[in-house]
Amino acid sequence: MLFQQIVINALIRASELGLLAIGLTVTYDILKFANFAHVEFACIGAFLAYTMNVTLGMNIILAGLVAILVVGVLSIFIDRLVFIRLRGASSIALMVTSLGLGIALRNGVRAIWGARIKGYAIGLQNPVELIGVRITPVQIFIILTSVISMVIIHLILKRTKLGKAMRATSANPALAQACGIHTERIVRWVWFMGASLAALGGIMIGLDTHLTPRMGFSVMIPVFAISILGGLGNPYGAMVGALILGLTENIGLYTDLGKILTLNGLIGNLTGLYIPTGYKLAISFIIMIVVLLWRPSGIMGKRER
Amino acid sequence: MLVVEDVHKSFGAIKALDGVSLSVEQGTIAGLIGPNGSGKTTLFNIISGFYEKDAGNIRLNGKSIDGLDPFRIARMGLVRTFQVAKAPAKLTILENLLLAAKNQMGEKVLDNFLKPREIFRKEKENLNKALDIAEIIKLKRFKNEYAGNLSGGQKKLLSLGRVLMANPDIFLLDEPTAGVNPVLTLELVDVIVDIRKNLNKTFLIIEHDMNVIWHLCDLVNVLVAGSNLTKGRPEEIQKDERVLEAYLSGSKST
Amino acid sequence: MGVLYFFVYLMIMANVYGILSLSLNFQAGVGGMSNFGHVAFFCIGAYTSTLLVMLCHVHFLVGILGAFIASGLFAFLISIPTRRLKADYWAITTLGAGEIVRLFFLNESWISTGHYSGGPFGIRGIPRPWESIIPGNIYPFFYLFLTLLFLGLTYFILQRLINGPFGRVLKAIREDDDLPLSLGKNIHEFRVKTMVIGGAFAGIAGGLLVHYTTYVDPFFFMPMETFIVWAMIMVGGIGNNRGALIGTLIIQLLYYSTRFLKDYLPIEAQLLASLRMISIGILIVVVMLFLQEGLVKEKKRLY
Repeated sequence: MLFQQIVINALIRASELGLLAIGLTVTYDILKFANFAHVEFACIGAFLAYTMNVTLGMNIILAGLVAILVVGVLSIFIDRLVFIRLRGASSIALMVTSLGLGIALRNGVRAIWGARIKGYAIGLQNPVELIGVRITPVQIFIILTSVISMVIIHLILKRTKLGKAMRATSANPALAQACGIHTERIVRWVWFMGASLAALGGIMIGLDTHLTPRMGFSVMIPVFAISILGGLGNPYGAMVGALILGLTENIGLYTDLGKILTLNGLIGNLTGLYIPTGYKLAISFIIMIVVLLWRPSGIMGKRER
Repeated sequence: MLVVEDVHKSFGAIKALDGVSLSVEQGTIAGLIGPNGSGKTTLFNIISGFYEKDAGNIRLNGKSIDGLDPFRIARMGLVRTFQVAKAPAKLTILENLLLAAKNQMGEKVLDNFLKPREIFRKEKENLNKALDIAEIIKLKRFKNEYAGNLSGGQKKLLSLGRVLMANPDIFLLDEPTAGVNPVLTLELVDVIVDIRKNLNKTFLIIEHDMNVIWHLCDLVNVLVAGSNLTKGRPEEIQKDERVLEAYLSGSKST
Repeated sequence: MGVLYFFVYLMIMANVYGILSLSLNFQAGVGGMSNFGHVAFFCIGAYTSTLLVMLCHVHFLVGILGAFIASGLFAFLISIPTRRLKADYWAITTLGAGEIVRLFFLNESWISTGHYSGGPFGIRGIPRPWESIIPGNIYPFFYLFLTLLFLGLTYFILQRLINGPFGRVLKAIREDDDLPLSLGKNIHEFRVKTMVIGGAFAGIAGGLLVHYTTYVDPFFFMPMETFIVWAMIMVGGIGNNRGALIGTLIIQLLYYSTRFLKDYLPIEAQLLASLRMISIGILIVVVMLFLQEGLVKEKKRLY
């Protein structure tokens, strides 16, 4: 496969998963636990958009926006119902709770929408050729949406009062509270932000491929790998991490590793060496393990003792 | 016994320790005093291996303990307590004390099944010792109570009990009597003096209660702003104008 | 008669899951390690015993021993990158490890017994131990007894470790690293050992499972299995072995008996499956919110 094509494919993957990972890492930063139900927000968002787009015949962009808002509100509702009772609980208690919640949400989607594969009403996508790369208009849309979302997140984090308050709350909740920051309100905003980013990511995945109730769960490990790669709690790290993961996956799966290892035939002769596609998930896992062994706080995080 | 030479430690831009040195002779009780933020607890954390230092040397019985894991330093005979007393909430008082015993065969997985008798005997021995210590720290009544239900002062007592149980060569005690009632404090002072006299153990103690310091210590080290201000016998330190001044200005700034 | 055999089958599975929940309870309940990939050890145990017995023609007991060793070894491997890290990382890494192990057996079709294709098609014809000498109609009762024996062995060994000095250190580590470190306990070593012991026993459970079903495929070992075992120890009472067993029984009965609701209710099988999973998920959340210590509280050791 052409190198440009690999880069574009990596960019598409990074755009989708990056949104989910940024959502995860932002919630981790404030709530201090790994939310195993996070990826289900992506799944719910994608299916809500499906209902509005396919069943109700709404425009996909409008359907997507409504779905994102609904998922954001849903996450606040879940926080008020469940997690508010566990503030200050151990991270294990929080993780197990989110695990249970994730199971309930994932199977809730399956109960409501069924297990059959679905797709949005966006018509057949004919790829266009740009600099020797085949890309569909929807994929261009995905990349653009993702880039714009990341710019917006950057502006929220750096330029708004909310962003400042978030940083203060993350660093020291008690101190932030003492300085007049309404930390519970920050927590609500963070849920909203994280969940709606996940929903957006989910819709992007649905646009690019298809929808199944397992679509969230099946990207859980890559999404966590990206967050760990960027350092849990660091949204910029997650952006870089998503790119690295996208590239590694696509290079690993679609280039002849034999050629790379032998420097294109310079030393020895080894061709046709590909990582089987069945092991796509293993690439994320290996990235995760390598980062944990090498720099547990992520490539962009501060080095921990 | 314990020699600390020119230890430096910074947290970001803040210099917590700026060249601290001290030494504690075998069989003596040394005090470490200074205003809040003068680096006493940081020094404890460095000596016991919990923090890495930026520069300096630390020797225990002539051997360097630089860069060793905390548990290795503990096994070499240096055990510390924490300023905010720790006590696993779901272990009882007795279990907390038993936890501290060293060289427990029962901590080895296979020995539990190969030498159950010996382990049983050792446990019994430790149990008797733990009961004696519970008596000393006046917590015997609560021996089967979860440590999570203790007050702050009681947790301090339990910490002291645990180091007694661990029976190291050198004890590093971080405010051992904070929150403990005055009568019991005096008894504990006696216990420490006894241990030193009868077992020739060594102590380094951080304490804010000056009465405890004057009663116990052979030598007092004064830290101010991460450096040694002075050291001397308790009587000398009591009279030293600079120490009083450091405390006054220290309390102004905090 | 059918009901009785079904009940025996349920109890055999309860024994197998009992071993799983005891071993997870040892790691998570007593040691405080958030293992979200327990199914990995279950899976490796199942395949190891299958391959040893079918390819090397060793005895069933040797197969089970192999399962014990192989799963323990795998637990050791995943402890290396994680032993110094926080609970969050344990959870993610173990979850990932569980999926990778399943992927491995899904993709590596050459791992088979020659007659069948392996991979997603699974391996059939796994021999049942002592089948030739025990009449078919009492065999399930025999296997029930056999699994109970292994459950008892697991209980005895783990209980002894928990009640002794080893368990004391684990309970201290569960709350905080610094105190046990200050008392000379090598907490990383304790964590690795706990992971290995728990993993090894889960391997036994895997072997016991497939030598009864006589069939194994990678879909036995979906991540949901791990979560069900978590539900078992949460409901029964985390940190307490008796609680873990009671929780196993409750979840096992609920989960397996509701499978047959479709015969009585006008409900699609697919929907019913979802509803059963939803109830497991909600049960975990409800227990975490309102019954944190589970049905049976952790037992206090009195002297």
